[in-house]
Amino acid sequence: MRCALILTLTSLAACQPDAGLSPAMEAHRGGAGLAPQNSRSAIVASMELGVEVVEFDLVLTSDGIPVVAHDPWLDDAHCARQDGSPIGDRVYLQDLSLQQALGDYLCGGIPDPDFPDAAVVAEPLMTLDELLAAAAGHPDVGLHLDVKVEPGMTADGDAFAEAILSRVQQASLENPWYMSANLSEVIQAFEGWGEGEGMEVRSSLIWPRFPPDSSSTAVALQTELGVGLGLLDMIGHAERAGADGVALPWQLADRRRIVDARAAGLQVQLWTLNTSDLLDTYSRWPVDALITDYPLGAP
Amino acid sequence: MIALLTTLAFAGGPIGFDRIDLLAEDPGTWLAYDAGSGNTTAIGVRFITQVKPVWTTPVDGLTVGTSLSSQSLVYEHPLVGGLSLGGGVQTRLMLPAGAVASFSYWAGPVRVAGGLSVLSSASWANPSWASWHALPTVGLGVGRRR
Repeated sequence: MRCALILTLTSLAACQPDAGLSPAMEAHRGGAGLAPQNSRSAIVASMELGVEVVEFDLVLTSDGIPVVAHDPWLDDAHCARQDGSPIGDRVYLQDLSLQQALGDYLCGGIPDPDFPDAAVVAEPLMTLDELLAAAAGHPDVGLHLDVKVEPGMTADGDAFAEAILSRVQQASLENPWYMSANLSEVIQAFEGWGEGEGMEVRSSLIWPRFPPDSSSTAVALQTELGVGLGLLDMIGHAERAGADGVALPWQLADRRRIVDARAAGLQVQLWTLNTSDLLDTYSRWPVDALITDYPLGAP
Repeated sequence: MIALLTTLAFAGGPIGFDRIDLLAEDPGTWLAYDAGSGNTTAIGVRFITQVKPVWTTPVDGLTVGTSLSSQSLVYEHPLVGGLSLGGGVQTRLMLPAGAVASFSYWAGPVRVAGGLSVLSSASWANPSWASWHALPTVGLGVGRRR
């Protein structure tokens, strides 16, 4: 048991027994602390290093091919044109065919200020097919498919479900896997597709939803107040989505609500913990997974 | 709860300021779960949401507490030597969510208390009383000099 000694009078009240679980470590965006986020280099390196779970993001091209990318677009923050020139205005992946996405752009060759020690490698986007083939060689590595549906910027959940799950089904993976999304309708699309094909789909609702270009601080504060006032309910939201779990940012983690979520039969994942102190603290919480950019040890 | 408070408001007699609880006995979750979490942002935000202004009512000993995280109706009965025993209901936006009981003591303008909060996860977003937590609580308030 670890107790936080805040004040002598309150020390007993601040004691929390260790949860007795051993949360899995997930390599966020393939392991962004190792190599460029969502890159072939990061994902393959994480698999070869034997991480427990590799988390990665999926977006569809215009011809419906799932590629590994966090945002619905390519931009100068992480990518460049093949000739090294800047992209300029965002280029949406839903407007690019696979051939264009892989042939005209390279990503990962721009140093990421958030991860100064990560390798810098310029390479084409990785397709889901390529990732699944790599995963077949590491059947003990779990896969967390984070589905990036954004209304107005990508195809809908049904298109993503068909494109992704048909490939997962065809791959006949031994790897344990689950999907996540921040929209209930995407969870329902995947669960529905799986049910129609006799395929078990395990899902996690990413909560709360942070829309692209939104202020994460504003969303977090709004969520915190909404939950405190009893106007927002994480557990009910996940249950109505039909999700098997909920993934929330560690900044909004509330031990009481996490205990209640697990009592309701939901798995809980926390993201994104990038210091050793945070990983040490939250590894003692009753959660199923900790998502980190440093799956082998944070600074 | 709403009917009770409305009745009190129209009962005549003053509704006045009693104190502000910097550490509130209800819901009691800040000390139990947040203070030692290492999550400095949540520690600060959740501390602020549990700070509770407390108001006297026309009924002697009956007070209403109004923090962002809990609104309570508590009756305190004096015992001996400044010590009181209190108990009441805690709510989330007037939806009953639990109960609280504590011993309290006024030392001049400072009130200290210790007791027990029994809290469900019930809220307007999820009106279910299936899950309960029992937490030791500590209260620290500053108010009218006694």
